[in-house]
Amino acid sequence: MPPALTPARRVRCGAALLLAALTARSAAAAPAVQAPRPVQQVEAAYPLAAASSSPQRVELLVTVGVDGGVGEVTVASSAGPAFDAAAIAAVRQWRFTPATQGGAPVAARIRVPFVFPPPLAEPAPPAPVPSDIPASPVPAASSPAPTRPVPSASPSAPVPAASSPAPVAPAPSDSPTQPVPSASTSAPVPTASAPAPVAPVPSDSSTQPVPSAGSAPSPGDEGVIEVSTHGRRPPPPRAASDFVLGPEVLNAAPKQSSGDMLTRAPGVYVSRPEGDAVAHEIYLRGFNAAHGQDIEFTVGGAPINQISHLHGQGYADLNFILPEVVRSIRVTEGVYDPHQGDFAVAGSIDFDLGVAQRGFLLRSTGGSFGTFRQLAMWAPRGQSEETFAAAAIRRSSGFGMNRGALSGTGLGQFAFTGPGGLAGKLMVAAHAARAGMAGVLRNDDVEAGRVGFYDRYPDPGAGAQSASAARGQLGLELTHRSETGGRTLFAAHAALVDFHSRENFTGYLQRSMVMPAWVGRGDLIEQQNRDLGGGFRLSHRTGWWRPARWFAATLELGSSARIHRVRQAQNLLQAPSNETWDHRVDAEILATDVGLFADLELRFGKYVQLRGGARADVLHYDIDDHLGNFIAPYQVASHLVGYRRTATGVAAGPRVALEVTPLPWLKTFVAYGQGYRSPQARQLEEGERAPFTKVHSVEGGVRLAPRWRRPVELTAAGYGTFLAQDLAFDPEEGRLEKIGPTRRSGVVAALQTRPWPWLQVSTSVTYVHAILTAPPPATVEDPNPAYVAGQLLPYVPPVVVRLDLGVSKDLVQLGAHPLAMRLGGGFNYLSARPLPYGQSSDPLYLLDASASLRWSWIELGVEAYNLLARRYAASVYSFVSDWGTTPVPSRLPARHFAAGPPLSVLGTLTLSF
Amino acid sequence: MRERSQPGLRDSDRGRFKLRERSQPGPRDSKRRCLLAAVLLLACGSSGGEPFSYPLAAVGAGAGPFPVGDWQVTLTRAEVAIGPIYLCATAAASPDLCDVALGEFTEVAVVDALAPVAEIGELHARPGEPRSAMLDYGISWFTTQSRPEALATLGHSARLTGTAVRDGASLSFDALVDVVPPLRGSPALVGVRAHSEFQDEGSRLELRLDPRAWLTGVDFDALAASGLVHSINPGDPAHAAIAFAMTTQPPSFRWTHD
Amino acid sequence: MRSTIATLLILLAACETSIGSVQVFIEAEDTIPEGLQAGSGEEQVVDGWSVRYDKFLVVVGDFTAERSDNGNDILTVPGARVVDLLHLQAGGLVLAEFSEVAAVRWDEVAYSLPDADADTKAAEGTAAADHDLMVKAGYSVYFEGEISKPDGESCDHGEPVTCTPAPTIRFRWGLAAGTRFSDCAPPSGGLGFAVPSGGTAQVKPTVHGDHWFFTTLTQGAEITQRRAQWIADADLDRDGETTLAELKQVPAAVAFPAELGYNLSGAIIPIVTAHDYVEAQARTLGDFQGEGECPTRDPL
Repeated sequence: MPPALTPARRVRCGAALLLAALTARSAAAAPAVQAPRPVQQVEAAYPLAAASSSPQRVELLVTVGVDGGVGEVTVASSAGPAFDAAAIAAVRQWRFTPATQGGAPVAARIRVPFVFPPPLAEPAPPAPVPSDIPASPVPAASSPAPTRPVPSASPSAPVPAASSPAPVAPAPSDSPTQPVPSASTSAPVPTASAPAPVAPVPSDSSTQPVPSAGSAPSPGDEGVIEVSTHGRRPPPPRAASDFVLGPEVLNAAPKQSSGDMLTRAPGVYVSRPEGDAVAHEIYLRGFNAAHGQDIEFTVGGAPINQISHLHGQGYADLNFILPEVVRSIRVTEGVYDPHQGDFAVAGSIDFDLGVAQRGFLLRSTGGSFGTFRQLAMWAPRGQSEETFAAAAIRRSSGFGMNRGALSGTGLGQFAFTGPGGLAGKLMVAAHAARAGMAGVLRNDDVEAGRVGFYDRYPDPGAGAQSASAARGQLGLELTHRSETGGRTLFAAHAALVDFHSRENFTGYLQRSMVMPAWVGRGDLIEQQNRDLGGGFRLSHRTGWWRPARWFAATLELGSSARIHRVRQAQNLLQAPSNETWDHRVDAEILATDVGLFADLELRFGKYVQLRGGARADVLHYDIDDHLGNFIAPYQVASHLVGYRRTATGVAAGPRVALEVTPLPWLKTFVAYGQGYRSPQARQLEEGERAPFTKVHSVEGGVRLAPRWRRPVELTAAGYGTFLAQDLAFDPEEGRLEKIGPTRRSGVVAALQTRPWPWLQVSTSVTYVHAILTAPPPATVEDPNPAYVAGQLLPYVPPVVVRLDLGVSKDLVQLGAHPLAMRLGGGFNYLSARPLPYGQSSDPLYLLDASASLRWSWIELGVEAYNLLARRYAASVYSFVSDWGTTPVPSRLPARHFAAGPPLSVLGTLTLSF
Repeated sequence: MRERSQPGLRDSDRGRFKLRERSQPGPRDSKRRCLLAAVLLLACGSSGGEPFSYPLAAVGAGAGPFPVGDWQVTLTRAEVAIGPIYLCATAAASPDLCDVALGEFTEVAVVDALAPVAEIGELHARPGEPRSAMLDYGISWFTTQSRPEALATLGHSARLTGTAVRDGASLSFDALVDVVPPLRGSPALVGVRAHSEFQDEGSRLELRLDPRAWLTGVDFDALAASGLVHSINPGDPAHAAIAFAMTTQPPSFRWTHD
Repeated sequence: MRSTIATLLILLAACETSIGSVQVFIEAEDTIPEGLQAGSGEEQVVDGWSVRYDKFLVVVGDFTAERSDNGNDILTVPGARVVDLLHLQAGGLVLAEFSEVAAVRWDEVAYSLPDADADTKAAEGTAAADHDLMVKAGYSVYFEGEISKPDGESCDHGEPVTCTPAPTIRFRWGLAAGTRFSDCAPPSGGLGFAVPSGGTAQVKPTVHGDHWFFTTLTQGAEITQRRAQWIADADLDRDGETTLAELKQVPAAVAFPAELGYNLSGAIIPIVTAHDYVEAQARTLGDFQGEGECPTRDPL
């Protein structure tokens, strides 16, 4: 009898579970923000109806857009409605040169005080500079006038206890030697971008009003402008491999979809072997995450992975995210953050949506293979970057045979603020796509010349392959910041997602279960998955608690939940008449996931930070399997067909990260965490426990951001990931099946730099050693699977190299506007991938490049994908198939592949106004 | 007998995987190799054993006379079409349980079953422990065919020619035998016992064919009652006896390894 | 270093095993208490005979369950019992119950239908006389019943065919066909059974009762036809009962012609007579969780 889990053993287990992990943090040292400078000012008219005998002061928070216009105006400090209205009316007519960061215009929120001295009173003497403003040069302001507040920039001290989530960067516009803010509380000037460790940073902070930092106004008729970058400060990284890809990296090389943009992250390789309507296939750090089984995808925090999807666990269709509205992507490799939930096995990827360039944009793209795309986008000026709407339609005949596609997408987001520190965001999206699919080909058939590389089998079963997707989604997020620095989050999301595909991988192997006399009618597997679901996220983060000078702590408690009703079916169809000749799956699943997490952050001085906590998720499934307990025709019926069952389980684990900053430009990280992936519900039996896959993730690394003249950031880390039960795609079933426990270990190195102001360089190398640590699970077909200790996991590329270059330069001035040139290139290298049975695929080299010229409101460009015109396989497989191409069918696994696109060239015309 | 199912032998058999690991290069060697591979950014190790081929041969029973009831039967010709053959990891080889084979011979060979040894060809295989086989005698019914078809040049599963002698009476026969798969998409013979602990490039598989055993069910008395020269074809009772015997007494599989 | 971390983490994983319990039943397929009906459906006897069993005894023993991920864990029910499959309690006969079983998948399940010997006991609900019958003769399976057809006939295979009316044919057959059945898999896929944490797994080796009516020796999926005319034809002395001795005189090639769809490849013993056919089929009776298969069959 196996030993029981005695209480003593439980205690020991609990103790053993307290392992510290260090995570590397990636702190992008962003350049300083230059404040906007007013070029046109209008005086405020004194509201005589509300005249007062004392000076009245109104402080406005004014958003200055990238075009220098005044956007949102809110009242930070009110002097009554009349004075507020007068000040607002005046400031709305002001014009500025926009704030810049690193040379590029950014929207900024500035604080503009208006002082209304009493009528006929003496001008008030200049108020003394408050003592908490460190002695920094105050640039000379323009001459004071009684009712004209003159904005001048002066540094204002950030109050360490300030709960400002947004980076606050008062930057005197004419002091070029503005020091980059450091992490210490004594820094006089917090910069706009660096996640200042002293300030609590909410992980998904959006635009927040800058609370008063206690800066006092300068002399009464001189305003004090605090500048804060408008928008989101990247959340502090949890591990060395926590990368935030900003717009300059994302947009350097050309991309056709938001999935393509993921390749910028170290260790990520993305392909589309199943056409344009099926989700991308993603590899991350030794994981073949298929369509998302190992990566938690979120859009603005709302989860995208679909639970128990028939085509693949955690199926995440990113095709509805238009690449033009993605402001940044956060790729967290590893599981070290208690916020990471289901499917965060290799890591998490969060898309942050926002449009920096305001106005209207029309972009037409056309080129190879009859591809045409029309995008329309509008981002109202003066509004937050997070308010935008975009729509696109795309059509293509596809390269090779049977790959035509048509899709339409609409996506919009609206950000708003409310009184008392409330901010919110509402997001809606809709997407529909249908594309043909050429499927896979056997290598031996292509080598023998029986079928072309970009063709499909001439068989009707191969010609009928297609996929279609439809989606409607909405999300709401509300955050509230209290004066004490706490932050409360409420977010809810709901989506209806539909998937319908027909794929034939294996040719003519299958026999009908319902009518066993029917065989050899073609293995065209039809899969339908319709998912109506929603969920919420609630959390509260306290303000900072500082019992001592060298210690600060904050705690976040939160809960997230999802509930999905999934209706799925799988049939076999006979092409071309679309006759159903077998039922394989017919089920309804109600899947619920309720999670609870706690995230504690402790800071010891300026050198050490410990972040971590734990997360527990309760998973529950109610499965109505209409074909369960199936009665084959040759069996005497002893019951009715149908098997309904329920299963639950708990996935709980710690996630800890330790960051040590021995030098201001060097951070070291160690991290450990446990993640999980929910199972395919139909594979559960009644009451079966452990309905999920557990992963243990560990990492150590460093991040260097030396304070050189040009920004440089270098990250290096070593990592290990251990899975109790891994999944791999089984083409015969058309879905994922278990392959046994695995271990992945490796190193990653990433460099991001801007050697010259016009050149952006980002490169990374990832190495992984991925092995199967125990024999694969026995099946009834193979009770003793062959296994060699340490055998490599097939299909995962051991080495992934990525290089992105972006050149952006003004060439010549034509009239009032410069003629700007942009060049971009992205290079991908994948080493030879191991395949089952000791084989390996060829290495992969891909180069994409783009060039464009922009003048004023028009931009012309050209994009080339696979510029080296390499003939490559987007995906390779090894399985048994029979397409009738040999006289006797083979039952040995053979190599198959799905072709990657050849050279394609697209021209773009962009109008922005 | 599968040893694993005997509790008494369980522990020794449990070391099966460990035995395999010992034959791999030692841990220090592989670590060094891995380190070098990591430096060169290459994959280290392999994803399992590579596919390989090894020879397939047929072993006949010899040409001497043998008794069937009162008769002494001598075969002068015994041509047997054999193939395609699939080796399976399950003990019940059938299309349902052997989607992926451990080895296969995807041709049809016509073998002289009287000759001592005849090389048939190469068996393509991958690492594993075959425990049963499914095969055809030259007539196959694949999933995509609407009726069975003979693949062999022989046109039939077997041609057995010979004489039967009893008390001076001599009867000659010429049998064309068809063993037809009864089910579309399934070979004619399923679940044929064929076990080897392992297979690799140094292996060799011999199929032992005994056409004498296939004739023991033939009623020569009944044949003799209607003549001395017989052409036995599908539909005759003698044909049914031979085809039945070919089905229930399949070739035996014997492996040898270097 | 890597292995240390790995060990540590595997220990952590081991910390999380929880337990459940297992109940091992013996179940009879419905064809044993219900018999078979004539008809043209795929699950019916196509040559018009109906089947009814009056007695059905098997010997069941040596149930083992093991895990491929932990060779030290094993559940065994040693010893053999004679089980009367027509008088099982509702829900089947409980062979054994185990508690504190690791809540994982036990994927190596095997059991035997051995020949009865002196150590074989009688299970609950089995009459002592039945037990003695099995032990004395060393049978592994014994069944009695009849096939019936209103216009049934027993025919021979001569030229021309001569038939005798035989509306019912009785049989009383006992066979020493001891076999071990392993690699048992449930019909829903996977191998063995999964123990739910805090719950009970119900493991049901199932004995089938209609395999001597099949036209094939099923391997895996039971794609076959059911025919019973051969039993009527094997009643050589036309006394309304087909005995084992009569079966030994019937050549299998004659009783099971390919024209009727018979294909008897895959037997674990050679088949020359009809008796061999019944014994070969008796060595396929062991199944699992209803219609799941135990495809590895080894003679004992």
